[in-house]
Amino acid sequence: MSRQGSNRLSRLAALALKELKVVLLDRRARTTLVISPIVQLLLFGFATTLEVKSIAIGLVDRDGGRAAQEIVAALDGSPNIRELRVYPSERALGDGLARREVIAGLILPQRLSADVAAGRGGEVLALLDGRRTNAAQIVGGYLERIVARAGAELRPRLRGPPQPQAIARNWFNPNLDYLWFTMPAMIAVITAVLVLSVSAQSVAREREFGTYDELMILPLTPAEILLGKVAPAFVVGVANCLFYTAAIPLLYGVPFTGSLALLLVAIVVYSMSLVGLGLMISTLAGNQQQAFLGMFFVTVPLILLSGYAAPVDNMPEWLQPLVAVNPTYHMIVVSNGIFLKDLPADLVLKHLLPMLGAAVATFTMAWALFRARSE
Amino acid sequence: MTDPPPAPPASGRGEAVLHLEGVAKRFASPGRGAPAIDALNGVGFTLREGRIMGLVGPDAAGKTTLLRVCAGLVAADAGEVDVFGAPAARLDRGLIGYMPQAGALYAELSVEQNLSLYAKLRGLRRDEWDERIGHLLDLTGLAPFTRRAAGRLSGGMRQKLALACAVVAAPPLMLLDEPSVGVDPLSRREIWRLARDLAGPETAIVWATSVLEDAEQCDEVLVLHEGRREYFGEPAGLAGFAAGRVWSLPVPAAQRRGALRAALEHPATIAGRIEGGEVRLTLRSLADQPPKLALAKASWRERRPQVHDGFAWVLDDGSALRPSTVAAAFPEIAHEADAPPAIEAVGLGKRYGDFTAVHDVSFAVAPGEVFGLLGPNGAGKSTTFRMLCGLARPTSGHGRVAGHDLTTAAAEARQALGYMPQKFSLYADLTVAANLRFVAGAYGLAGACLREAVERAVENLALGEFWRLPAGTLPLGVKQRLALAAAVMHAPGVLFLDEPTSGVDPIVRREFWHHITGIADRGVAVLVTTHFMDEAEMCDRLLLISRAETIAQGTPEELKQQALAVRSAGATLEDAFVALIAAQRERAREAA
Repeated sequence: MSRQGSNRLSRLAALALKELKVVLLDRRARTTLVISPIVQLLLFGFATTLEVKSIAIGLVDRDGGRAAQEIVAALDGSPNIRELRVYPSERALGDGLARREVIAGLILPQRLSADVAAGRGGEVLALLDGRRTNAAQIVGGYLERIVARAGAELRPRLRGPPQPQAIARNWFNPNLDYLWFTMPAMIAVITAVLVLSVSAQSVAREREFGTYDELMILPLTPAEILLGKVAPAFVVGVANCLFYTAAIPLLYGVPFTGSLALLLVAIVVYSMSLVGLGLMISTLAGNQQQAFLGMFFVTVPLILLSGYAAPVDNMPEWLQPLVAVNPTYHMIVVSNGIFLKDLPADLVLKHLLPMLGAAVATFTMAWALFRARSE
Repeated sequence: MTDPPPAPPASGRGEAVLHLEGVAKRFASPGRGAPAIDALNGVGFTLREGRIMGLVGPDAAGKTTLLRVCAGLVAADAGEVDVFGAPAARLDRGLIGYMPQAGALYAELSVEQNLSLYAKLRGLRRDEWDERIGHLLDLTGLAPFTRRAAGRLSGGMRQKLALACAVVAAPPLMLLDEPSVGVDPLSRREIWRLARDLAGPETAIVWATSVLEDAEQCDEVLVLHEGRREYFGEPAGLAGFAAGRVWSLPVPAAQRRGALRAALEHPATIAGRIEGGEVRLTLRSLADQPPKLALAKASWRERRPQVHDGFAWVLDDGSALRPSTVAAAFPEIAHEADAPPAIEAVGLGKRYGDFTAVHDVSFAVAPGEVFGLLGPNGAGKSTTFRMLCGLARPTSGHGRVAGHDLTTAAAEARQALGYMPQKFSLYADLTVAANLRFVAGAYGLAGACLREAVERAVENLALGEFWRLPAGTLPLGVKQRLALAAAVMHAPGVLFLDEPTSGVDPIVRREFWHHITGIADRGVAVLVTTHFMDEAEMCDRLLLISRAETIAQGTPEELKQQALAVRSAGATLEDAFVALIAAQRERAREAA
């Protein structure tokens, strides 16, 4: 066995080395792998979050009591809020939203202070500009936190298609800096894009360049070939993770409170699940172009169903099971947790297991497809 | 088919279509350490209307660059290029039909769509389309396949379609870059007929090729070597260089290959081949006598030189072939006469849906035997080959390699065989070193064993100077050497070579076959496919496949006998090839 085993290992090593070289020597691939994480980091960090600083908030105060004063004071003191406009009525606030004078508004009901004082917890209605969904959601988060401090609950309503929103409370992000959420989650998203693009091209590239025959004639089993193709994706995943873990605290001051080792373990398992998916696409594709389209087909739902762009709780029931098996969702939870609240190992494990399951499932499918199409 | 073409005007008369003088072109280094390339260096010639000029030369001689210069696609660095009396830069492209290497077909479009697209692009008038396209479909014999995607045509048909697309507007100058590369002798004859049918009496043709049989068909031949003009004139003149230097000697079949190898290693010899049971040599000097071969009883006789003899003489670099070190690196495989076959096909068949690619093919190859698979493009030869090395699964019958069944013990079978694919299949971005290390590693070598195997391969195939270059930037001949190095890295007992010399020049082909026959003599079983009949002559036995079925099997001599039995054919193996296939087609027509 030992001879056979070492033989197999040296074969795998030769394959992995070859895969790494092929990816790193391809100038286009190299550029994509190095430039795109940097661009995304800067783009997401600086550009997309600008619109939720320096905002205008509308207010209809029918209460005027203690709770209302607290809320107004908090709004006034928030560094993100440039202007607080007071409207006489809900209708006037609605018009203000329509005219884009404000991005959101709070309506403090008459009995708010009384309810809070009585310990019943008051309800505050929030109107959000549904045309600016992303920004409005972030603002909704600010408002919820402010209202909660005053002891009331926020009932947000998006203008546009009216839809009640429940927003998670931001215990571990006391300053409500949205970057604290987006940046750790970016690790999961950008890793998904990079690892998928590397692995989705791998088999398709061999087919397109005619090296597939050479590969098939060598005494390698389909499992060995697929395992060899894991190497570049791992290197990309881990390197990217290290880069982001170093850059995010430095550039944006997001705290890193957890264990780097745990994060790396999670990234390795996460990359594994993505490689399996990428290899499935690659096996089915006849050339690199098809592989690219296939990757697009998978990446978009992967990210949309991860809670990165839209809160998971807002998704319809029937989509929830898909979220539960989405490795990107779990990776975002783990990454946020490790960055912001020193997520303990047992809780990390709870999210690692579904990722591991996804990895095993996608690999098995990739292997079966590869065997079936290995002619 | 049509009236015989009028006799071409003698050289020197008629209008000059192409006139080049002192043309030079240098390309920058492709990067990563590869040197800059002098593609053309002071080339000049004049081609008159109605003439066919063969552009021959080894790989990387500058043939493609010269064609592109004539087509106005590449500007020469120096010299004069006149096309129809005007500088190439101000050329009316409508006057030229340029067929790039491997054609410029859209693989997803059908035969008819390709033709009408090119008719449009070439500015053919709408009312001329139907007639012209119909005419082209008739001439190419593609009329039954108008709806088939170009990518799904066989090699020969694809070349014919590419040729038809290039000349759809009946241009007075055709520039054809290797139109007959990788096609079987029958298709090659058809492509020649097609080109002549498509040409008007005033049409001039430049036909780039590395196949010297093509050159014999031309009115004029331009021999290029490393960007320089080595010869320009009639083919007979080229053959004339070898006058008095060509000798032949009948040798019994069993000793023929050994005798040829010994003769080629003799310092007086520049080229040699096996032809009709004889060893045929081209000698370096008129003063030289053909080498004495111990086993031959008969004596050498002088022969009339052919174009390939003259070509070999013109390109001779003065050195003799050395004994194949590649072969020497193989362990001697002892084998008895009744040893079990190394390769065995039993009732092998392959169907794709309704289509039968291979039907009931059986043969066996003994250790030490060179077995040739011949057949027209698309006949099922490649599929048979791929089934035997485990790249395709047979739908009926089975194959065994070195005693391992391909369906049940594929990994063991693959460990026992070496394979050289038709198209270069190593990694273009990786260096020669990295490619060889990868292949050695994949065969389970590691550490000192791996280093040793790689070093040996590099030394034996003279790859040392290319060691650090990316494989994709190598000249074709070196690529083939690298592919052979990769295939024999683990000294396999069985060697599969799929058109190992397709598109390669005669010098590299000779070197290649020197290795192949040497390896076979160590006891390795070699299965080879080829379209070159001089290579087929080197095989111990041949199998001819056409339309998915075996139509003949035996030694080259037996195949010629079988051909003579069915119809009066010429004496060469190529004649036999064409005759046997024609006979099969006739039978099929009668049966229908």
